Amino acid sequence: MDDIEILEKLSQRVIEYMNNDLGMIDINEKFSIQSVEQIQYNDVATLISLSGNIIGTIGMSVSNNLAKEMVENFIFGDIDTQTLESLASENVAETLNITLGNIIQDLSTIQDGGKVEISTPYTMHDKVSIIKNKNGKMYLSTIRYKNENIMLSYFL
Amino acid sequence: MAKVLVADDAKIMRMNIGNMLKKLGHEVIAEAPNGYMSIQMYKKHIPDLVTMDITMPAENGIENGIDAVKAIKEEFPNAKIIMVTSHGEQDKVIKAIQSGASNYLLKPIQIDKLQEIISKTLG
Repeated sequence: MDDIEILEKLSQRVIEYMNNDLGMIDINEKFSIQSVEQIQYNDVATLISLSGNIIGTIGMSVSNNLAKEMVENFIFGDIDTQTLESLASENVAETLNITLGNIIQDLSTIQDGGKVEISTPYTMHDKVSIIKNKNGKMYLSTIRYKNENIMLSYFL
Repeated sequence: MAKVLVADDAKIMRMNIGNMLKKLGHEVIAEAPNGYMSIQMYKKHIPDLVTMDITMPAENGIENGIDAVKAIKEEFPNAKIIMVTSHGEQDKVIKAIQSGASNYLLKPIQIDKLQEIISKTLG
């Protein structure tokens, strides 16, 4: 597996998920992946660690507003404003958990018989910043939705 | 109409599955945020069906949904349990089925798929 395969497949799946499953059709179908030295996440950021034949940490980050909009579109049935706000962070974690889980079997390492363990998500707030390890690698994919950015990251 | 226990560590997933179950005419009689609590809730309510997330936080020696399935099936061999999982947890699904789970449902959950799996599971 090359370094950005996981982020490419995850970006494609997130776009598909938001478009088809959440009905957020304003999602831009193009994305760009860059090698970066540092990532400043948005209001809500959730991280999932990978271990086994694929190692590293995958992240997803969005603004509070987008997190709330995602809840509105995720929930089956009606939801009041207070509940919606209380579930916004958790839903970002669930979104990453679902989309990452959906693409894992498609990665070349797994297709070749490799195994990977996915941790439970860890969520952070307040625009956390992460700096690349001296000998590490760090990649960032940015997807546009209306005037918002959805940040997907992979670092190891 | 089935009486259902919904076990998932994410409140939003419990709410979503619960809303779908209600729409399909079923009753959510209890919820559990981890495997250990799902065992306690099962014993208390004896539901017709359980939806069980595979990956949940450990508590009191019950590490995940698979451990909960084992414990429930040991005491209640006729228990009907549907595992809820994402595609990447294929190995865990196999373990859960070997432990006695009746079926599994992939995330993201669609209401028509939920209905289909419930019908298959309850017969």
